[in-house]
Amino acid sequence: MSVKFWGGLGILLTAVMACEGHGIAARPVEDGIGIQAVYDDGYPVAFGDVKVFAPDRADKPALEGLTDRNGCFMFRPDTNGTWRVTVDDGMGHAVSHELYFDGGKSAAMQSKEPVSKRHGVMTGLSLIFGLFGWIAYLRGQRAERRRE
Amino acid sequence: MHVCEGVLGWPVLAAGGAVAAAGVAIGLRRMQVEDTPKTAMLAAVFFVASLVHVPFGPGSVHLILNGLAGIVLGWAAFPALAVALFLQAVLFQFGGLAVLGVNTVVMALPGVAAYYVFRALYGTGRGPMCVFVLAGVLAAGTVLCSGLLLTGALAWGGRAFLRVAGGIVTTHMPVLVADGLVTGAAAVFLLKVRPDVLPPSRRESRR
Repeated sequence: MSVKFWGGLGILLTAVMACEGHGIAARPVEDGIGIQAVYDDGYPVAFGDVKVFAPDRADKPALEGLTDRNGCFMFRPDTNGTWRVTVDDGMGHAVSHELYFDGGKSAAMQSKEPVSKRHGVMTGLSLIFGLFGWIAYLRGQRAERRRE
Repeated sequence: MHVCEGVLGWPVLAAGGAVAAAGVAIGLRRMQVEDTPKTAMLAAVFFVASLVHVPFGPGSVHLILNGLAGIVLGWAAFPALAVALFLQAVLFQFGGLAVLGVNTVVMALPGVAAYYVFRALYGTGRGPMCVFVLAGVLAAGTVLCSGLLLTGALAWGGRAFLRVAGGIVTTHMPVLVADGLVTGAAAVFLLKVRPDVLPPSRRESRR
């Protein structure tokens, strides 16, 4: 009996220890960084393919995944430096973004504020007509010189 | 339909840049002084068109109008669209400076092809309905060809061609229809108001 008892107990303990050995635990982690991919009309790139390139390995992605339904993707770098994140919606749209990570303090490299749409349109139209007007002026002058 | 920075490798970027530079040079060479205002106008239309989003289904669509630019301008579509794409990249971060050449080729090359097809078929019928259908179909075909060129560029960079092509064609179906309708209507308007803006048919240019 005692052989059966101790044998059974041994097997049980071994099984419990084995289970503990393969168990996983989860704990919250802070200081992650991430991006949100959006189309130019503000709609999120939901479930787009994401590749993350570490600072020291630009040729092979360190991490791959998908954006969530809001176009967000978060990760926690293990190396300081500039991390590159590419998002591809599989339909011809893709974007590459660089994030700088420095021991828990991260800042987007491309943090400059884009021009507001109204100002951008006005500036763009002015530059287009100005540029082509200038081209027309130069060509007109050249044509006049040839006539002379 | 903009490719962004960091997606394509340098061979694709270099090839795109070289073809775009050649196209811009040919376009500037062929552009007459009197063509400059319409070139500027269509560059402005292309620049603004992609910023105006119309709600469609779960998302939204925007016009491209590279077919209209191509039909009206011919080779001058290259400098016009290059300038517009450059300003979109600088002012709105659409696309990028490194991929400017590829984006220019993707948008302008099918437009130039549409110009030649329009010229070849324009003389066969000049009624408003004929011009509407011809310009509309060519504009839709231009958007489709741009999608396929973009797919080719992405496939050269290592993407699966069929998967990307299917996605691009599916998502751009509303754009295809919208561009066709707007370009057809614009061509009919030009035919009635300023027919000399439309390219001459082959027969006319031979005379």
